[in-house]
Amino acid sequence: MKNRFSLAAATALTALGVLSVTPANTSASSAHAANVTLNVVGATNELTNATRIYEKLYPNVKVNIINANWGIGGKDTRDKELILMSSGQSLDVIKMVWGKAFFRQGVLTDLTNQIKTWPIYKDYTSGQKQRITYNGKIYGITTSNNTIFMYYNKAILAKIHAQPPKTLRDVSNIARAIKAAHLKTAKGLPIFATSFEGGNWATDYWVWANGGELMTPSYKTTLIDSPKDIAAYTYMQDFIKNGEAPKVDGTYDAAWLNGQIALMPIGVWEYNASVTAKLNFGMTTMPVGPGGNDVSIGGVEYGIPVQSAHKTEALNFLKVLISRATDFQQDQTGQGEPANPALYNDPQFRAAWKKVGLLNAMMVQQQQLKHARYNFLEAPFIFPDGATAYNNALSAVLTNLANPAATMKTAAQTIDQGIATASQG
Amino acid sequence: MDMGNMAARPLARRGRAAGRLGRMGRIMKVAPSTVLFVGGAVLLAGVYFTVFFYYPFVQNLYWMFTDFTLLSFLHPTHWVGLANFNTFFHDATAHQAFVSSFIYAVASVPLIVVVALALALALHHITVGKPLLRVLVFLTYLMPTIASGLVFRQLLGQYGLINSYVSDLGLPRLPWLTDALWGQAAIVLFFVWKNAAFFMIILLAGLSNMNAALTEAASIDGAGPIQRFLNVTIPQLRPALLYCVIVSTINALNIYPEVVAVTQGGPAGQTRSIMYYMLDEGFGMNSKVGYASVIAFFLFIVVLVITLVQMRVTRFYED
Repeated sequence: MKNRFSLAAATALTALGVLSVTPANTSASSAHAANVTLNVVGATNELTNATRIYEKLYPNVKVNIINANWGIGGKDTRDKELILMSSGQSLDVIKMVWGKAFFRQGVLTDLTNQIKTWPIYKDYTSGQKQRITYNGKIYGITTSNNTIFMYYNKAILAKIHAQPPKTLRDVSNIARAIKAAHLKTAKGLPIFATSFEGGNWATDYWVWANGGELMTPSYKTTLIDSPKDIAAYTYMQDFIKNGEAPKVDGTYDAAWLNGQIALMPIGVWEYNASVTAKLNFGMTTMPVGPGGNDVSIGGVEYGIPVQSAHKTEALNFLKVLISRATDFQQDQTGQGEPANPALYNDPQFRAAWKKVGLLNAMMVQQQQLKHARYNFLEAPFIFPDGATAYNNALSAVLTNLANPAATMKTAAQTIDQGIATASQG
Repeated sequence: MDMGNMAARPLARRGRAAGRLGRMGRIMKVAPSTVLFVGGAVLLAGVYFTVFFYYPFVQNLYWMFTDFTLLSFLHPTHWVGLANFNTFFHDATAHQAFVSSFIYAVASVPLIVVVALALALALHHITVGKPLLRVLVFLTYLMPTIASGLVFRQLLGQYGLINSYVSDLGLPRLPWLTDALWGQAAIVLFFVWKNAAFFMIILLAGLSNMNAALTEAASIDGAGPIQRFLNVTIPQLRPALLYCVIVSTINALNIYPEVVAVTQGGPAGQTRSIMYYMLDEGFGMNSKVGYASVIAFFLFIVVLVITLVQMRVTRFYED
């Protein structure tokens, strides 16, 4: 009895000791005493460098990184942020791609007066500025901005004596040449001209290049059922029907890595996998069509919730997050794209990218970023279900080969109705 | 100060407490320490179920009649009466998702039971390497669903490994991920692969507890292997089999990560299960928790009715 009591008491004391020492969340802070604790939600590996730099500059502030897995389209991070905020936890900096929706719903602080004075704002591309602006107001900063660009399989192009395409017409010519030559891989798999995998974030290039638009400038009405857009969806569907592109089946880059795709619109993140797959490939900006060669601008935003009790400190953290020092630490390991597009010309950054083999890919991305814009239907901020309606319609057109006009008309009605209802509320 | 009396008081208090427990123990004919342990365990279980099951259930019942969202910390929640129910009854997408869930249940439960039984019988009769084989088979259940589902997706792609074998046989490639029906079949296959091992363990335990004398007697009476299996083994395995059918039905109706990993609800949302749709509505960009609560309630009713019918038809409690 005495031994059992002693054991129980010892266990309880040990548990109490562990609980009192173990912090509730991941923290990259140093050991000094702090007056303020800043709660930052994001990925630890993306925030560790900025935290280290920030805590050196501001020793009275401790940064508490609340690690959040990204999930599909950032869903897990968003869920975590909302659950934390709705349970009363004060968050000071949060990571998003839904910044416009949050700002519209009153979650984020208006930072227009501050961010417009920062030097980086002048260097931001128009696409980056679109990402952080809602109704003329700025709600945060944007980092890790990336785009798709054109990877081309040199071996396939060599077989049909073609050069990397510069226009949409070149793409069509390449498609016809591949089909006429009945090309197959060494394992007997069919070879295609291009692929439409990647969801609407990747396929919107084809709509814009063909002269279409997804939304009116006010974002109140969708144009996915307009004649130019229908022509663009038909253009994509014809590639699939003619055997010049595979049906979209969610296997993403598998066909490219199999050596089956001549022209693959994908981003810098595909570089290492392509090298590992021993593909003989090159990279260039997207071909130009009647509507240009704009692509969707990727990346994330960081903003400050209105509930934050430490807005000044949070603003300083945002400054550090987009500083050259933070970007350089990230890019040494090839982890991120610089927030400031001017840094693409920095010799130290170029040397760091060359060291990890990414220099060519980053230089192509630098050029493509000049032709990148905000994509409403990736993260619609008025009627969120619009993204689902559009993606389902796109899937119906590119997988089920449904009639583009009828399918997009139904989706457009759903989206327009949803926007109208949400705008009233 | 009477030190003798002071020293005696703690002992007296312990004596009184021991007395109460002792009385309970005498009434229940068990030792006081057993009463303490069982009482503590029941209390802990009560707290656990209250916090993680009963309270959320009651909260769900309230939210069904409101427009509660995850942004309700900024915007007030309003009572909307039966509006969410009205939306549900007119929501064709929700109805289609329910149908998909039924298809998954009807298709996967018989397969799971058959595969689990086959694996259990095989492992029961194997004499060499049984522990290792048991672990290897059970590993499929232990693997993270999303990770293994993503691998499944790559295997089932148009130019994935499975289709390369199909193509080598001269057959047309199977549209696992580009056709709604084939997509549902892919999800069922993955669900069976992922979960059969768990039920194999249940049935293996059932086989181990069988009365060997009955099997021997049947053998002596001239019954063949199939007759022994049908008339001796199956009846003795009945409780375990019923458990497998009921629990796998509940799991199949609640199917979610398998859909996310293999098809992401596609193509064009046609393979979404009701759980997938509910979580999308409740935690997606809309975060319509009030409406998602209605879907959750109806899913609960459906699962409850089906489970009760199964138990009644099979006379589960009579065993």
